[in-house]
Amino acid sequence: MLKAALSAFAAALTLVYAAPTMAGAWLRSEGEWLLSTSVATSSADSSWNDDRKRFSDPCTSRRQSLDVYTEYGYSYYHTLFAAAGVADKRCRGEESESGLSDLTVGIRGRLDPYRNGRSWEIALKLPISGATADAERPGNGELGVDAGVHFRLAPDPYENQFISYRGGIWSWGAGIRAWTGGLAHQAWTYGGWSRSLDDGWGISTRLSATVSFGGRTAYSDGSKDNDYDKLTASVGVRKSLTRDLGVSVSVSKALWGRNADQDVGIRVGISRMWR
Amino acid sequence: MFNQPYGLAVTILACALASCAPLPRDTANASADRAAADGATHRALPEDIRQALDPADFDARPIDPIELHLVMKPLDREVIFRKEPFDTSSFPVQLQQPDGSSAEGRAEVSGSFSRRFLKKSIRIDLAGDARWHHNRRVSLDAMATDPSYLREWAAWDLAHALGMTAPEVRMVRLHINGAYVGPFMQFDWIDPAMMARRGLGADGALYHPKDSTFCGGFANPAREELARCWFELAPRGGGYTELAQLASELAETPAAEFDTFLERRFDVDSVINWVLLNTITSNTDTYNKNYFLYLSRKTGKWLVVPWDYDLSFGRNADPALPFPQTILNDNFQYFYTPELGNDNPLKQKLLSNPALYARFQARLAHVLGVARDARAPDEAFGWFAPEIFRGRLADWARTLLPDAQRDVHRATSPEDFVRHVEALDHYNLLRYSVLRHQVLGTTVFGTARWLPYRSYPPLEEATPAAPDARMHTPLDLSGTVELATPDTRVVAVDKQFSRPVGIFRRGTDGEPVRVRIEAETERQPRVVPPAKSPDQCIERTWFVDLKSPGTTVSTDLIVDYLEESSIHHEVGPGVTDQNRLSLWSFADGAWTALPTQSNATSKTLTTRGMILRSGRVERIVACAD
Repeated sequence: MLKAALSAFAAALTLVYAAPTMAGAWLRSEGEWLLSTSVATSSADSSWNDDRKRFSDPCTSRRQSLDVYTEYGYSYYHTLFAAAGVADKRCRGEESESGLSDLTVGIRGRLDPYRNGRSWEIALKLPISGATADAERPGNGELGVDAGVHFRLAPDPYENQFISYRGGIWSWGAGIRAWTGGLAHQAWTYGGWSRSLDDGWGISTRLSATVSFGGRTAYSDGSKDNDYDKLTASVGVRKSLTRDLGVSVSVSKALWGRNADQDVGIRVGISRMWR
Repeated sequence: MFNQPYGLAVTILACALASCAPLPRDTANASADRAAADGATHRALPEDIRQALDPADFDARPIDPIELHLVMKPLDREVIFRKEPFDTSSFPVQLQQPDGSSAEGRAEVSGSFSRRFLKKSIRIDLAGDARWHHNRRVSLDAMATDPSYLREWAAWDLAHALGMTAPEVRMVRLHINGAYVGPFMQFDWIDPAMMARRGLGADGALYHPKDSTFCGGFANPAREELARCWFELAPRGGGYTELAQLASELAETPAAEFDTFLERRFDVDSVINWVLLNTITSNTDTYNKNYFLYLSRKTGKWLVVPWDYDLSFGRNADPALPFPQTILNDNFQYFYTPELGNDNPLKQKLLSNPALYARFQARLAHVLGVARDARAPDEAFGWFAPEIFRGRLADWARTLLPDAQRDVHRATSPEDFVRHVEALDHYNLLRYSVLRHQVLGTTVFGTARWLPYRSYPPLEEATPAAPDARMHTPLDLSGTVELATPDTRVVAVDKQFSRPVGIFRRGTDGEPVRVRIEAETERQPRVVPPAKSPDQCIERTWFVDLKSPGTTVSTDLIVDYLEESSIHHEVGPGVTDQNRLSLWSFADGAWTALPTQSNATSKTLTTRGMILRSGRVERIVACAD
C-alpha cells in the first residue's frame, strides 16, 4: 500500500511535468526515463494584430500537432531532455501547412541540491530538415537557445515526509529564448497550480505568457517571423493508470496577444516512466 | 510529582547486572546520576544472579560492532541523507577495506517506508570483483524505525541460535569522510550466492513476496496471481514454475497430512523455526510478506528464510490510524497466540497438524528453557528465558548506548533508546509468561489451555445502531504467587486466560509469603484519588492482597495496561502523556500516591518498595498527573 501510494505520487509528478512544452522543475532519479506523447488540436477564427487588436480571420483555422518528449536522469544532479513534434494547419478550403518543429535538446540542474522542484534549464533549439517558419511556428528554422528557471513554490511537499502531500502546489518559471537569423528574441513565464486527488487523479491550471522583442517584421505583414506575444490559460486533469503510466487531458485558450491566433485547444497525452 | 525522570534505567541494568566497561564521559555521568537518583536497588542484586546474567555464562553473541569507513564527495554525503525520500539516484563511494585498500562502488538509499526517515538505510554496490564480508552488495539498515536498535538484532540472534538459514548480520559503526554517522546493521544479501555459502547450492529457485501487494500468503495458487504477489529472484524468467507447483500442493494437502508433506518437500525445521521466531517476537508483519522461499537443487527441498523484524517485540500495526501511525504508533502487545500475523498455509497447517504442533511446542519449550528439544541446537536453549534474555539485553544495550547518543541522524532521543530497551525487557517477561502458560501449560484436567485454530463465537462489532457492542470481552484477571527470594522477579499469571496480572520483586529476605493480585480490565476505576477524574485514569484497577497471615513484605510491583490498538485500549480520554502516569493506592480509608516509573512504550508502571500487610487489600489505580 505504501509503495503504491508513493508510486502514484511519483506518477502524478511525472504527469504534471510531462507537458509537451517540456518546461518543468522536476529532476529524474539517476537512470530513470520518461517518455511522453501528446496530440493536440486547436481552432481559431480570430487573431490579434501587431497593435494587439483582434480581427476576424478569413476562415476558421485548425491546427493539429503531435509532440514527443523524453527525459533521462543522467545523475542526481542533472536530467537530460529532448523534444520534437510535427504540426499541421489549414483553413477550410485552403491548402494545409505542415512541418516539423525544432528539435530541442537540453539539460536541467538543481538550484537546491537537497530538494527537487527547483531547477535551472538550458536547451538548444536545433533547426532540422523540413522545419518551416510558418505562422504556426512548429519550427523556426534557426538555431535558438532557451534558458530559464523553474520553481515549485511553498509549500514544500516533503516538509512532512510521512504524509503524502495532498494540498495544492504552486509553481512558477521564467526564462529567455534567443535566436539566430534575426528572429525575435523572447521571454517567457508561467504560473501554475496543481493538486493530487484520490485514486491517482490530479488537476492543474496554468497561465503562461510569451513576449517577443527585437523582431524584424510583423505577423500581420504575412512574414514568417516569431515576433509575437501571447497569454494563454489552461486547465488539465490527469490520471495515473499504474505506477509508471499516466494520461492527461488539458484545454487551453488564448486570452491576449499580438501577432497571434486567438485559439482554443485541447491536448491529450500519455506518459510512461521506467528505469 | 511522584514521577521520577525516566533516566537511564537500562544503563543501570547493564552496568549493574553485567560487567560494565567504561563508557564515554557523558554516558558514565548519566549512569551515575541515574543510579544515585534511583537508589541502589539494582546493585543490591545478589552475586549469584549477577553472575547468572553475565552473557559469558550463557554463550551470548556479543554485538561487537565493526567500523566501516566510506569516502564520498562532501556534497554527496549530505545529499544522500537529505534528498527527497523517493529519489533512487546513486552516488560514487569508496569503501575502505580492513586491509587498508579501498573498493569503488555506488551508494544509494534503500528500503521503502524507512526512506522517509532522516537516517536512511544505504545500499552499496561494489564494482568488479570487490567484496565486503562476502557481499558485492553491502546493505546497511539504518534501524530508523526502532529506537532500541535491537529488535532486528535480537530476532536474528535467535534465528542463528536456532540454526536457521538466515543472513549473517553485523552491527556497523558507519563513518563517512572520517566523521561518525551512526550505528547500522549490515545484512548478507539474500541471493543464491548466500545459499551456496550455506551448502545449499546457487542453482536453486528463490522467491520473495512483494512488499506492496500483501499477497504472498498463497491465498490463490494461480500463476498470474503468484506473479502479482511474488518476486522471482532466481532463476530470472522462470515463469514461477516451482512456486506454482508448491502453491498447488500447499492448497491441496490437508492439515492432517501436512507433516508427511512437509518432510517430503521442506526443510521442516526451517518452517517450525520460522513460525516459532514470529511467535517469540510477536511479529505480525509477516506470512503474506517478509520472508524468502528457496528451493535447493542440492537437497531437493524448500526452506524458509525469515525477513524484517523491526515491527516486533511488542510493536503493533494499527490499520485504524492514518498513515504513518499505522506503523509508527504507541501500541504494545505481548499476548497474541502463535496464530498471529496474516494467513499462510505453512503456518496454519503446521499449527493444525498434531505431529507438527507437538514439534513446535517442543521447540518453544527449548527456547523458553523449560525442556530440551533434541532436534534444536543447544545455543537456543533458554534463549528467551527472562534472566538470560535480560543479561543478553543488558550486554547489547551497554554496547549500543554510546552509539545511540552519538547517532547523527537519529529520529529519537537516547531516552527513547533506554525506554525501548526497558520495554524489550518487560516484553520478554510478559511474553514468556503468556507463551509458557498458553502454549505449554495444561489445565488441572491435563488438557491443553490453548489449541490452534479453535473457533470462538464472534463478538459484535460496534456500529452506529449498536454503539455499545464490543469486540472484546473485558477480563477479570487474577493470579497468586509466592515471594520467597529477594530481588527475583515473579510474574503473577491468570492461568485461565494465560495473561500476566502483575510482576513482583521482593526486596528483603524473610519467610516466603503468598500475594494475590486481581485486575478489573477495560473499565474506568469506580473510585479515583482526590482531584482526579476517571477520564484521567487508566481503565484498569488492581487489587493486591498479602495472603500470608501476620506478615508484612516490601516489594517492587510492575503492572501493565492495555493499548493494543487505537480502538482497543485502556487509556482514559484525559490521559495526554502516558509518561506522566502515577500509581495510587487506596487502603485503610486513604489514598496514597506511589512513587512511579512509567514506561509508555511497554505500558508498564513500576513502583518500588511497596509495603504489603496481610489483611489489608491495596486498591491501585493509575492516573495522569
